[in-house]
Amino acid sequence: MSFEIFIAITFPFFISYFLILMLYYCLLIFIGFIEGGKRSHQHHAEDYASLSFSTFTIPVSIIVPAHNEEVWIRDSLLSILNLDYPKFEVIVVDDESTDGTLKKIDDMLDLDSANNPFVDQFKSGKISNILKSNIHPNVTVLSRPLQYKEKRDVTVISKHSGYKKAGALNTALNMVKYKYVCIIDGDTILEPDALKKVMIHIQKNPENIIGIGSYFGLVNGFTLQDGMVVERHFFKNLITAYQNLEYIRSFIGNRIAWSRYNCLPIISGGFAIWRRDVIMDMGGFSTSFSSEDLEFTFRAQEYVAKNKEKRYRIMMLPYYVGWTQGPSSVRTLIQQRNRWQRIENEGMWRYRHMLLNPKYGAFAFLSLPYFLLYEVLGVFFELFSIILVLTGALLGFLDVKMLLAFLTLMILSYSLISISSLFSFIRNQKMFRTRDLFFFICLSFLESFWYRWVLAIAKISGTYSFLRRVRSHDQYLRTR
Amino acid sequence: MGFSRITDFVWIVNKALLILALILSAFIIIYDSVRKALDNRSQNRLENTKKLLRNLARSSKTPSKDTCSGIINRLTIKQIFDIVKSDEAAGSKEFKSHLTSCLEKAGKFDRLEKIASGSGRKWTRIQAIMTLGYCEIHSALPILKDALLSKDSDISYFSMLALGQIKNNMSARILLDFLEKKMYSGYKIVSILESFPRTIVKEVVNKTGSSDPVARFWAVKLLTTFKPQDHADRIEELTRDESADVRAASCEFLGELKNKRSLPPILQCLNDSAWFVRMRAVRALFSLLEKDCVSYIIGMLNDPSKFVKESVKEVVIQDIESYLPHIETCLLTGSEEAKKCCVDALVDSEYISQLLKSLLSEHPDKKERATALLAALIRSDFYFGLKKVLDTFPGNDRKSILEIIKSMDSGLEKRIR
Repeated sequence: MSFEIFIAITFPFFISYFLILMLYYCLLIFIGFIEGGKRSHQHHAEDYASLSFSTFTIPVSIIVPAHNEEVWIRDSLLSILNLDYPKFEVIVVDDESTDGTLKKIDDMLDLDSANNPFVDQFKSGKISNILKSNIHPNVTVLSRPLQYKEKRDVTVISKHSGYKKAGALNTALNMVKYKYVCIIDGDTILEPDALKKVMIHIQKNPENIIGIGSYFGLVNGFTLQDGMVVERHFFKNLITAYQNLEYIRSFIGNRIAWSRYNCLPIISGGFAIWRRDVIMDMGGFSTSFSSEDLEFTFRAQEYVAKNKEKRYRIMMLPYYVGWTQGPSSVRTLIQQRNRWQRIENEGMWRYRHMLLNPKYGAFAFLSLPYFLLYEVLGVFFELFSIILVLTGALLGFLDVKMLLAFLTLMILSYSLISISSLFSFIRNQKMFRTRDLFFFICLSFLESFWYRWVLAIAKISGTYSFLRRVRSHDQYLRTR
Repeated sequence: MGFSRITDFVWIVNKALLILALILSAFIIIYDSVRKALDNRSQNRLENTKKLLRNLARSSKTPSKDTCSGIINRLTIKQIFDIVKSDEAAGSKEFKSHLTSCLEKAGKFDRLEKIASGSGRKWTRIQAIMTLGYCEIHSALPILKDALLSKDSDISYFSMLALGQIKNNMSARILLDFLEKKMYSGYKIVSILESFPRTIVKEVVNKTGSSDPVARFWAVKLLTTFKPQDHADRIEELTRDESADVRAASCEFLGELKNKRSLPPILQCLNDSAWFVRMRAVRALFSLLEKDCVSYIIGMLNDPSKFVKESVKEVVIQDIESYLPHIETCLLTGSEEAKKCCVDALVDSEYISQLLKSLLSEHPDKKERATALLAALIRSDFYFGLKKVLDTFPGNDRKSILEIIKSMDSGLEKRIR
């Protein structure tokens, strides 16, 4: 078979693949646009003040797993303590930190050993100490494993237990008091009204809503003061600027639409609220995966299907609730996306029985096929197309004009998707200055020239790591 | 040749996409700029309106129809809603009163009622509904009641919020009846009703007679916030309700009332088949009798439910010294779970340190009791942080205590040493 015939056969396949993806994104953006508009109206008309005064406001347990978060933990905890919500507790898990995380927490909260008996229901690993804050009685710190001597000389035992963030979450679950559990990262800075914006929806329907998430962006380059965002700078770092655009596309473009049909495949671990009894019923978070958030959401969708009569819902809201640190260099970006690709592959493999299975409803038909074809197998298509182009070029069969035409089609299509998502976002959020918008629009056009290729490299390396059974939860170095 | 035509077609599509992208980009920039300008203008208008209303409030003159029309008629429904919902309107009765008066004089309420009854534009209708609620327009109650039963969940929800602003017996009745529709969680409805005046208590008590157990449950929960002493009889009856949730809520209510007359029904609930009813009964007994509840609840340490045991433990911790004899008995003869509960109670109340100090006491009785309790603790085989507490004692005292421990369990003493 000549190369030309080969191209003639594979070409329609590739173009169909691309067109279906674009149409799917357009559909999601359109649904997200309508749903986002509705949420915006709800937000404007809502009576949030009532939450502050009611004894029936549902209290929340906030879990903060912190591994080597000395750079951000103070601001993160301050933002939590600044929350405008009447009743919540905080459980910080100092998760095998080898830096000054625990000392920072102690300096801030004045910790004392509490020595409460601890029953580990999840085999989440040893904890060496339970500490309570003398200043904020609703804050508990679990230390694992760290020697905490009487005179507060901190001895760090460097030990890799392999339990990862999931293990830290499970540790905290053993101590949680309230019906709803809010999980954030140790570098997440919450907006003061984060819990109000989200819990007001849960309060309408706590019997049915088992999981809820909301939009959060990247804090890199922001000016913070005592845990509060004072100034937002979206363009101090180009890598994080691209990521902000990506988050908008993902949260506002995709997830809002999936939420509309109760087929949300992920609530990110940077901010997620789950019903505690459902987490316990599901056996807690799994430590066997590279990341716990996607796998848990997949498992939760399975749980929803198994309990159809209870009409459970897993939702995503378009309100910004906080900010988290993102990678600020190409190396750390690849490291992060390597792990994300691994978890996508792991989740898809583990829950492959749900794919196109009518028992699992919209999740099986709307979300999982996308995940399989574009998040998991997409890397193979990209790799194959690169190989095809290079082979064509080497053999002298490459039609440069045709190649340029399709590359331009790809660039413009992706740009339109990004710009549409951006419009959907700004319609409901008044966060950007006009010049920020202008820069984001420019980034939309430039993304495909290099940023997407960096992500493609990360996806390829992630897939390779997955095939090599790498399951580590690598954390890139925190910076400010 | 074929590829050439495809390439040409793709270039045409690219041109179209590029034009579309550029138009959309320009549109976004223009949209954002225009919206910001309009928002600023709207904000300025709102501030001016508030300023005029403030001046009216200060002047204490009754505003004329023309004055009010001049202020109100240039505002949209959304702007009116923004003002009635503002912190200023919420915080100042005078401001709100003048605002409401002006809206009435300008004939706005008729228009708002018309929109609230069924305007084509949903969110304008919701804004009108909420405005009527915030302005406490009693004549709008029938409209709000109809809107509450709307098939549109947003209209229904915001009508509920609007009714919650009116705070009279009629709106309370409507909301209490709405509990039975189960369109929204009882949490939300009772959180709205909680802020109503006590005059609605009778309505709530009536709801405790509903055939719907969920409605009865929430009615009792709501009454717990009002604590009406003269309706305790009714709630005592509900401790025998067919619904376990209602029985549990009734125990909670009686505990909050702290009326000793309610002791018998609470005691009966200690034997309830549902663990959460027993748990509530334990807490209610402590609330009612405080230290004197020990004889009633200590047996609950052997309850099959860990939650009931936990609630007993929470009570025991409040006054650990009173419960020591019972704890010792439990450590010697109780089930494994009961023993664990007793150990937890001693640890959580930080009594272990005091126990060890008592071992060094010069009073023989005190020393003997402490020794017996420590022996029972060691025999229970549960971890209670002995070494950690012992490490806080000075050298000689630590030695003396270790000698006592040695006489009870030489293996343990060696491990600690």
